[in-house]
Amino acid sequence: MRQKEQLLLKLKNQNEQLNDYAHLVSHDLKSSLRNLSALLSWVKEDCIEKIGEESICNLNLMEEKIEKMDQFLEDIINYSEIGGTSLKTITIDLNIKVNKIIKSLDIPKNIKVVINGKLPVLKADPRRLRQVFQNLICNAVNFNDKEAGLVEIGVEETEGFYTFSIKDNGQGISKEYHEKIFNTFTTLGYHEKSTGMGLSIVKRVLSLYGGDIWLESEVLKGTTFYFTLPKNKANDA
Amino acid sequence: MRKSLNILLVEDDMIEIMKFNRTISKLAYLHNIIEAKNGEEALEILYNSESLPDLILLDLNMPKVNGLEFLSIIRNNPHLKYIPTVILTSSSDHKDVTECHQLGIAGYLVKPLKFADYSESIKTVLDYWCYNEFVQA
Repeated sequence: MRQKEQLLLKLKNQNEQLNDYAHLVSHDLKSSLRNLSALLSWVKEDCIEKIGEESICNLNLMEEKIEKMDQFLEDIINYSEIGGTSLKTITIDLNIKVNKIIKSLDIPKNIKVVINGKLPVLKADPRRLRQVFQNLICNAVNFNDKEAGLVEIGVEETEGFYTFSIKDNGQGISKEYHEKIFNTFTTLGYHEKSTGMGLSIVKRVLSLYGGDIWLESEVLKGTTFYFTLPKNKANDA
Repeated sequence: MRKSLNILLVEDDMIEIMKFNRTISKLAYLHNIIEAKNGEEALEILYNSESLPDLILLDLNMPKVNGLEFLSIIRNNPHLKYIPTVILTSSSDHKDVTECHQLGIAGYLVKPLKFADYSESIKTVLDYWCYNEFVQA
């Protein structure tokens, strides 16, 4: 028993160290990226009339890469923070919360995001819950290839838990990827902002609350992500 | 409205200092900047100068005395605690934000990635402070 306790303590410490490490490195890299980005914009400013189109194009590509790397680091920081800091618990009206999230997103005009029915009021950490809804809605919006895109958010209540659904009419995900997409850094399509961390973050947050996530999808027609939040767990946590 | 602020910039990164100076050199008003490479140097400047700055712009991640330590020292000093301090950092870390607000800050700015956005936010902050009254001149 004692040995087990010691082992647990050791693991806990190592885990904390790893989180701190990811955090520290990401922040240092972020600072350096800010430096690089500024220097690059000055070079561009100074040279734009002296260099050819191809060089300007390359400088622009460099800028894009820096932006992508910044997004990567942001996601790594978010991911490493999830287990590290303790969960806050406040009462959240999801109708208000989800509407707020939708409003804060950059959604193209051809895509509609709607809430079907009434969402519950529950107790959870507002930042974590935001990550779950925001990442799933963003995916549904960003990878939507339809002229009239539609993203529907719904919920079903059973005795033990809420089952939320985020349904889109996008390109769909073929069966072989249904597990793989939850791995870190896995992304299926190219999108400028996509780093492959979004669903890993969602999964990690849900696992903190004892929730689950899965999907149903038909290629070319659309995907529905389902996730659960246990009622009691979400209320006690 | 004031046309010029005395600003203490506490920043260890050379390129960040270049960014700041490049930004204010293009502003309509000429501000007076004092630079400190870390919290320790900044404290020395504050302890030894006759007049205090109107505003402190403070990086968090620095060698020797870091931003949080510096902030806690000046907030506990009856002479220095009135100087409005705006955090200028690349970390939006929740813990940092909370701790800074607990100690007392006049703003928390996360440095945007792009220089143009950075310049814009610095300009906004300085413009805002030009409209303010200060405890000590």
